[in-house]
Amino acid sequence: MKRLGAAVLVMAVGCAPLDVERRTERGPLLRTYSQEKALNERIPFAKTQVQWPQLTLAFSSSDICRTEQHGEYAEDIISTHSNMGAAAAVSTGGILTVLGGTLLVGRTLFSDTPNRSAIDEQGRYGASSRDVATGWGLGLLIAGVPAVVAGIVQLSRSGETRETRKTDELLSLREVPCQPKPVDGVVELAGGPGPQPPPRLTLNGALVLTADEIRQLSFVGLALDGTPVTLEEEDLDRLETFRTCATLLATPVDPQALAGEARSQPDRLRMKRELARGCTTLPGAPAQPLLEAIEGALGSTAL
Amino acid sequence: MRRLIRWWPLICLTACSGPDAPDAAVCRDVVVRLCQSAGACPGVAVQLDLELSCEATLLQRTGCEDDAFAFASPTRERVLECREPLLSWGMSTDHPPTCVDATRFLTECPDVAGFFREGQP
Repeated sequence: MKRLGAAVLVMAVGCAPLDVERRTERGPLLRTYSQEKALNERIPFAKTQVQWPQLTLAFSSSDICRTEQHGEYAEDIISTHSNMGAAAAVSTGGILTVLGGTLLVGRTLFSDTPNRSAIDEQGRYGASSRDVATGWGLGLLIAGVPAVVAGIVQLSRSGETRETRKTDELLSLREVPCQPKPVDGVVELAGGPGPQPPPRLTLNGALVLTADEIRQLSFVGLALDGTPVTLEEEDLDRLETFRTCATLLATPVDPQALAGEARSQPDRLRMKRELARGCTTLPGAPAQPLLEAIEGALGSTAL
Repeated sequence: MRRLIRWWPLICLTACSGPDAPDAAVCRDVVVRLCQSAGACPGVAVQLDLELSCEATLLQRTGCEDDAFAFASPTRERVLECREPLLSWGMSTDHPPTCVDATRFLTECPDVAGFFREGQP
């Protein structure tokens, strides 16, 4: 009978639900680390080298290396267990239990004489006051005790639990070309306004273009074996400077013409001076005579 | 407490009713109810062949004024069965049965009605 009573209580209490509210709090930074991995996506790159009057395009096939910077944090998961009805269950169950227990304990105070003022359909007298008190007492106990136990269990299970775990966060991501390998192939100079230049073959992973060739070619982009070639910004600037200087330095220096231009179109000549200065950055480029002539023409005009 | 738990099914069964009422008490209960309706329903008084003092007449006629009275014919079970229409207002005798219920008692149970009209055979 005790086991049966315990089983009934467990069944009554075991299914009592608790409201759980979870929140996450970020703790301190534990460490940072970087992770590098190749994406195995090789794409063609080209670097430029100038030794006037030649521009060398060095082709290579590079992988893309992704560098990830990670931060490892401590993270607290805080679970708050609560039940709004637990206190009400304890108080209500407590009242019912006390009433039921009082009736049962004090049942001997009630009369054991049957109620002779009424006879039911079966010909029985009405129950005695003691029987009625006992029935009510048992009923109230049966309703009250599980409620009290359930409420107490719920109250004891209420509260906060804290679980700490590590969490990882990606802080930064950088993708750069890596593991370059020289590569040969057919180079197409494409995208210019004029007729497309004929494709050219590389030799030892390089294509050499002279200033005269560059001046006559019109192209915007490069493709190696049909795949667009990527140039980094520095190499792209150098290519454009070489192309400009190939045109600028092709004309012989004429101080008289420059003096005339200084008078008629000084702004244009100043711009030409800036371009000539840019040409001096190219190794071996004979830009100095032109630059001095322009300076001279502009200087005489100023006087 | 342990004894209570052991006997709780019996307690539950008996909590709403007490011991069997003796035949004399059952008979007197029917007499009270019949006489309550006889005062309000003239047909009942006629069918039971009553004089001025209803309860005294029926108690004397049936013999159930004696505490040792016991039903023979009709039996206790039959009287209880026929008494049910008279309980439509409850177990208590504070409220008299309606004329319809009293008439049902007399028409549906002629043997029990005859017992109250003519007494124990």
